[in-house]
Amino acid sequence: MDQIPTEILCEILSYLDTYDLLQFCRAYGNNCFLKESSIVRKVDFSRRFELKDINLYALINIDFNYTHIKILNIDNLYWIPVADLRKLINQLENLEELHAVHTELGLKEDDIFEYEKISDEDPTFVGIHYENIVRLLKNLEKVVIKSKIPVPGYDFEDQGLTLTFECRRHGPGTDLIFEKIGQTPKHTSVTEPHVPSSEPKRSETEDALGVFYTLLHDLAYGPKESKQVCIQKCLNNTRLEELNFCQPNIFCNLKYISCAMKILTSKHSRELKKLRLRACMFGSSQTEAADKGDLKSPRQRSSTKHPFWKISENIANLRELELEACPQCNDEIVMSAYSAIQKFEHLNKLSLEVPSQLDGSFLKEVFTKCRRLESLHLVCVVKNQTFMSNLCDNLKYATSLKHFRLHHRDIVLNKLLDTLNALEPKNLIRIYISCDTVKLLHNSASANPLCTFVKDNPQLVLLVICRKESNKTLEKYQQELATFIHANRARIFWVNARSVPHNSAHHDIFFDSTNVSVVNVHEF
Amino acid sequence: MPNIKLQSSDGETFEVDVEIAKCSVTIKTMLEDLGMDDEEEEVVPLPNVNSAILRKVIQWATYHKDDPPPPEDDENKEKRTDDISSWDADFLKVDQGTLFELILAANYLDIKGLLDVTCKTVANMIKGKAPEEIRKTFNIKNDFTASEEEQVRKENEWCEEK
Repeated sequence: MDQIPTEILCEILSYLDTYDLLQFCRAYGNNCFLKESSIVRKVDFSRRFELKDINLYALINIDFNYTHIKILNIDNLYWIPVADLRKLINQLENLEELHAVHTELGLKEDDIFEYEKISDEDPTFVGIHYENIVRLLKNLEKVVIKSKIPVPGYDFEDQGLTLTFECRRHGPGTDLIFEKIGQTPKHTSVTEPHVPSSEPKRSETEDALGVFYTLLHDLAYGPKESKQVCIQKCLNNTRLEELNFCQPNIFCNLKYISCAMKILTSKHSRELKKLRLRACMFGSSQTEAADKGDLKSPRQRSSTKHPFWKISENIANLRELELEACPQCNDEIVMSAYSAIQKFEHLNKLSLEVPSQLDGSFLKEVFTKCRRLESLHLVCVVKNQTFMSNLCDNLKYATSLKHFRLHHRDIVLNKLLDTLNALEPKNLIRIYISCDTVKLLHNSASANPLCTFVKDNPQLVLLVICRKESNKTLEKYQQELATFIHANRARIFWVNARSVPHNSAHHDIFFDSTNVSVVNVHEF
Repeated sequence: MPNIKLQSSDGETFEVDVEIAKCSVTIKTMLEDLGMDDEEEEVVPLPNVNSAILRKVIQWATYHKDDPPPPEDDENKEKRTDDISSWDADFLKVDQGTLFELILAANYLDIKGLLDVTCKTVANMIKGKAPEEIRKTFNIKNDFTASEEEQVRKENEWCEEK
């Protein structure tokens, strides 16, 4: 690395996000890169739970040249005291964009009450926290924040920032985007999905999408593509980046499935990043083949790969896959499609609703080949011991895993913790387990297995076990875990929960809500 | 098509299509400045690139000869590293020394496309790694003495347990 000139090293580092840049600086033993304007223009610490032990104010104040910072994203850093955040932001005089969703900076009910009361009575009212930030930072062009309650009429119009987006879909509270209109590129708000469709369709994919418009109330694709289609009135060169085929009331419909397949195999889907499917689609190609008299015998079928393999080649760049089970579509052919998931080598997030017939034997290949898999959400709709056994045997291969969510009727806690503890390197940050009953393999000689696990995984930020039935041992364990919680504000260790703890920053793992083709505030 | 001869630092000569060679801004400028036209048998010396690396650079340039010119840098554009084509990814499956030499050659020859893709490849090698893993990957020596280590630790208090 010494042979690389500094200007090229800076070019390389400009491709890193801020956390990876910090890690590199620590490895290199030199923080000088944090002063480079080309590198620290955008400081993005969003969802970096790894920063739980860092004094962010001190870090930016001492090591960064904060005058170069134009964009600051601190979404989900909920543990940083509000005083530190205000001090930090007030210092960033050249800031143009602030993203602070799920932080202590969020508007609280008292703030709103105060705002409404005072601003009504006193026209010279200088404003509450956000307003002060906006007044002070003259260059701000975009502010993305969260309000705990809807704020009618709240805006920064006098500072030139207009409320351009309001979304209530991501947990409690309202995501708000304020932007300078006119100076920034045209806003991409998609609160009301646009359905183009009076224009003649020109391609097969457009025909297929046309079926969606007639069958559904919602678009299959995301806000970015919606904007493009809205402007062009046809697909043209639109590259679909997200597709959600799990729409209410349209299950096992052959016409719908065949259209979805057409879209997935089209050139428009080659850059697809996020996909949500229902398992019905895995049975369709075979059904279609049967219609054409091309159905293979069971023996032939077992020796050939499922048609989903071919589709997966067209969408090989997929980053997020969410797969719902279908109670009607659960035969051998459907199950054989799951092994094609291994084709998605860039996969970052996998969310599976596990049917009872799925044995999990494909997991090893998936974990071995999808080396970037960081989030794994598994919901076993019914008890499935074979799947659990295969999961426990093979999870050790998911070496990049950071966020793990599991729902199964019974959990053998010691075994699961041993499995998770076997993961190397220690990357796990969040674990959410929900079940009816927790079983503990008693061994009088062993200490509290949860404390041992937490000690072995100091990087862990969230450990929640939600269960229906009470368990006295877990209650005892919860008390013992308290010392670890008190040591760090970011940590949430709650192993005796009947409902999820209240924390919006972890909404995605608590509720397993879809991240595909819904308006996502982080993308604006 | 007219060819041009490129000579590596270790004296090996490569005959290359002029248009392919001109994907290097350095070579293009050299040809223009020196008034070398396509008919001449002149040899262009490239003293900073050895034959093994020059061969790789020519291979890359030949494959990408019909690519549109890479876009100018825009500080507002998101810098991605997940858009490396599968051909480039396979092409860059080389040892680290070769990768760094390719970076240096791309920089010297001013071939933006090659420089971008090699830099992205190195960035991907850093991403998601802990400091110790980064040191191991790039053989960065942690040559601090115990007291220096303590000093660094104090200077980096922000990353210590609160």
